[in-house]
Amino acid sequence: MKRLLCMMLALVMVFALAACGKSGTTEETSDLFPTLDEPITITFWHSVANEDVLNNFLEVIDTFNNTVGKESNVKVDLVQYPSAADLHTAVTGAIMSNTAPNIVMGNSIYTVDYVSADALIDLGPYMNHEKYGINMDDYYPSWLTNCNSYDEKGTYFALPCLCYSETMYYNVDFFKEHNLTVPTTWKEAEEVCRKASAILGKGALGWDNAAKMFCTLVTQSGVGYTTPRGELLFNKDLDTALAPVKKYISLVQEGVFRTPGDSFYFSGPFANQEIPMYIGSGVEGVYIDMKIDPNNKFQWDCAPVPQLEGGQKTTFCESNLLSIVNKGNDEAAAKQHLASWIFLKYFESEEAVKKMATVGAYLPILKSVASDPEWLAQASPSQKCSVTQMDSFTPFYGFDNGKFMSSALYSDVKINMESVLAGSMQLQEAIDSLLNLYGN
Amino acid sequence: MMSKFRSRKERQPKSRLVTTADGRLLNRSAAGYLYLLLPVAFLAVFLLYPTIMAFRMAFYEKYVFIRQLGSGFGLSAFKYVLHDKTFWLAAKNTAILILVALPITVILSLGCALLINSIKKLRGLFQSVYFLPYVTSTIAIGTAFKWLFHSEYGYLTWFLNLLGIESKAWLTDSNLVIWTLAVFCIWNGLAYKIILFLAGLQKIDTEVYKAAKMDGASSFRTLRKITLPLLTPTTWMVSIMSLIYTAKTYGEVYSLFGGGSAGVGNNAITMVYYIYYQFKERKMVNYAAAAAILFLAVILLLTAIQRIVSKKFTHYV
Amino acid sequence: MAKANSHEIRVKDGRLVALNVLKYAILTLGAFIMMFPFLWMVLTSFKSLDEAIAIPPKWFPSLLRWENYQHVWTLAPFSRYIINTVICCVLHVAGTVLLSIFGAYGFSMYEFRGKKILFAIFLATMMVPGELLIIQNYITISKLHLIDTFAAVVLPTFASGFYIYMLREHFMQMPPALYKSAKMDGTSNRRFLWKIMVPMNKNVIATIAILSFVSQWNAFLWPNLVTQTSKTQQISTGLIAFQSAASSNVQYLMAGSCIMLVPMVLFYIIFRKQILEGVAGGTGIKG
Repeated sequence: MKRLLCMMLALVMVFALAACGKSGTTEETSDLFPTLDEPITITFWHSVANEDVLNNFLEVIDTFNNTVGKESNVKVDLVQYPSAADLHTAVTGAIMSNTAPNIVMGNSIYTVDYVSADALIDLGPYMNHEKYGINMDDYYPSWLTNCNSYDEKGTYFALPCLCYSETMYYNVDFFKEHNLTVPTTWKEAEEVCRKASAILGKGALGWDNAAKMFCTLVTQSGVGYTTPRGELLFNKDLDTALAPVKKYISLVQEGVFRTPGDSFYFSGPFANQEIPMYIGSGVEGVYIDMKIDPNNKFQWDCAPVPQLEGGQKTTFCESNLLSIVNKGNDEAAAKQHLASWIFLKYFESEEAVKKMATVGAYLPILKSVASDPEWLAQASPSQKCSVTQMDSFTPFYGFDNGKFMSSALYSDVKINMESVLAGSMQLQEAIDSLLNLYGN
Repeated sequence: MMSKFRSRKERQPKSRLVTTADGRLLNRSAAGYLYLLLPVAFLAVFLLYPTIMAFRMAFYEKYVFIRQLGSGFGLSAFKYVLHDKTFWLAAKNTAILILVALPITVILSLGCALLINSIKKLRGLFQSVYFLPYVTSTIAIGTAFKWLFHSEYGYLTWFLNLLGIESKAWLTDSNLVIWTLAVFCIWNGLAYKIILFLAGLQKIDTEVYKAAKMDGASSFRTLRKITLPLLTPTTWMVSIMSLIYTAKTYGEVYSLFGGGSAGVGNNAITMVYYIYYQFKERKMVNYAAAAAILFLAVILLLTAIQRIVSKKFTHYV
Repeated sequence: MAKANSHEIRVKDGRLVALNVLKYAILTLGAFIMMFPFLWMVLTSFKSLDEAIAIPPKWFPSLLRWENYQHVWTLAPFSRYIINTVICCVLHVAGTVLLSIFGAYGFSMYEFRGKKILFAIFLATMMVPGELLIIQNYITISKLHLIDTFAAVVLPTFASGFYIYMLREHFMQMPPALYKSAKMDGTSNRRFLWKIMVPMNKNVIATIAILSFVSQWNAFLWPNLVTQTSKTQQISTGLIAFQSAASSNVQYLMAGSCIMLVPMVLFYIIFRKQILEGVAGGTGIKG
């Protein structure tokens, strides 16, 4: 018994020493740019799943590892998660257990989470460094809005990677056949659809995502959806904000527009020529050709989302964001941060951005790539169309305003709008319930 | 007898035999702990500990999950949940599933198991076919059912039209979605229960059937007086497991309506879907935990009631 | 006596046949109802994408596109994934069966302090929705440095009361006379478990094996989280690649699901005999 006690005491002392010992060897450093004299491997967790995009993605990583990476002693190791949600769960758990990777991919909602845990580093010093810095002017401003909207100071916690926006798909043959012009405003859309729905017998325009319909229309009205830090905007002037929404809903009820109904998404009905145009995500474009029956082919193209006459030009966009995880304050951490930045800088370079925007539907975030004739020559319809609209893009802000997170508001907007469009709830009721939960 | 007993078992832990009310013999011994050591260990680490950590979140007014920090200790999360009409909708829907869909599923699966057990040829084939839903991927099932219920092109619509009945929007009418879900849940729950019933049925000693036949009992009489009573332990076991399983309905909602919402306006929402909705979509983890605790309390109560009732009606051999 | 019997049999013959036909008819109708999503899955795996999503829905592909299977197979290291999934399933089944036997025996054969509470806890934990616990389990596994191992995939799955509960009920149904006579013969509890209880409940244990095999084979939520490389990744991970946020390649998804089906069906066929066997042949006790 005595022996056992002595052994246990010794063990406890050993552990205590080990624990103290660890903290003794770390030193705080303020040098963010140490020399990378030894090869350093950084882990990058991502959720790119689409075949074609993944192939390009892997090529970019390979190129980095064999060129810039080799020169700078940096190697990137990838871990792929099947979906963004899985990735977020894994990163959350990893941050909470101190086993997080170096670079994470996420969207604004997930980035808010990581920022709230102080898990990401400020990219500012790196972006503006004379040797390692990048040209921020080459970015379209709309893609940067989700990168620095997480605190009052506008700290950059992320840089954009895979970005896409809403776009309108339309059946070129149908429009030609019936002598219709593609609408650019909601008034024109109403006119065109009145004619088209008379021909078809049902609604001629639809919007895949009811939440995006609401957010886009209240922003087009000039009032806005939310501020970057999470203050509601649309309740500041409900009449103006809801006017286009009311109009849209009444047109659906009239049968001029329609909802996806039992099909849930419009790409299927569009490919089957049930509907001549719909507003959906730009990334779907790659699938539409595959969905069209080869015996019943038709020409299709993309057009900008209709705008409100006299309103604010708005189309909603979304981006995947890359962030560097905070590994601490010591020299080893600084080396990891720098290595991660070196990779990030490459990934945001013209060469890599051009590669990632090929064969897929993601948009080039740099002006130099978007105006590159070689890229334009192979761009898909949704890419070509979106590139002309990049100045009017508005992102969804990711925030946690202390009372709720942006995802909560978005999810409830979606559910309520779907109810209203399906006719099981009145718009006023829906707005009341939303403001009850989220109004300040 | 006792001396013979002891002399042969020097190394066994001292055991005292106890007889229970229904005539079973139990050992009052520490070996019980030994047998349960591993199961309890896994339970403690991977179920109990996370559950306590999760439930802890319910007692805060605001909880930031990733920092594991909560502020405002109290019952405000419970207050919110109990005032949330979506919570009560979820409770109502889950109750519909438990009170309507579950008994139908149990009866149907019992019937199928009895039928399969009673035929001589092709028994294996039918057993395999009735097991297929359990091995089919949920996405395939969801897609197939979406086509079945489609208000314009669904086979149900086509069938109803044949009968002259007008079809409805099974998937998008807010009043109907819960019933569509119920039908889906009934279908989905059959395979698992059929297998459990078959296992219980096959345990019944065939001697008993032979004896009944010799006594001249008709097959229907055998069923009523012998098979079903002998099957009661299995029936109650299946009922309790199914009660818990049905109460936890989530996957069916997800595969029928796609992610994002439980049917239009969340009208087909179930308790577990509500919990996950608060947890994942709204990121209100304290509400999710509060709802989970309330849910656990109710289901525990129901299970306790069911066990008391089943004790009265179960026949052990 | 014999005369009355044969007379009864002859009269009953007609009714018996009719009853039998009815039984088969009901079972066949039920079979179609049970099978239709499965049929949809198999047929869709041979379609092109436009056929798979055609409105109105098309049942049969215009031609059998075996290239769907080829495409799916080459997309990810599926042969590796299948091996990984088989390993995890075998580990899961072995562990679950073993722990269920131990747990069920402990609860059904022993009486000890706190037994009722412990059983209540087991039952209660069955009611907690899994996704709430997933991140905490990830943290636990992470701290044990088990991420990307088979242990990570399988260990948390052993924490379940379902099959312990189920097997306990079956153990409790064993005639007490059996145990009494075994005790009189001086059998130890351990021998009783392995020589009598387990063999007599073979069909139930086989059922547990099949059900847990299938559930582990189809599991995706937890394995996706704790596996990171093809060293341990499972088939379900590979399939999610066909479902991107915008749209899904349904035909590839179905082809992948069909590939996933095959080992499960094999496993089921092997174990089905066990379930069907039951206790035919008597238990050794009359009356």
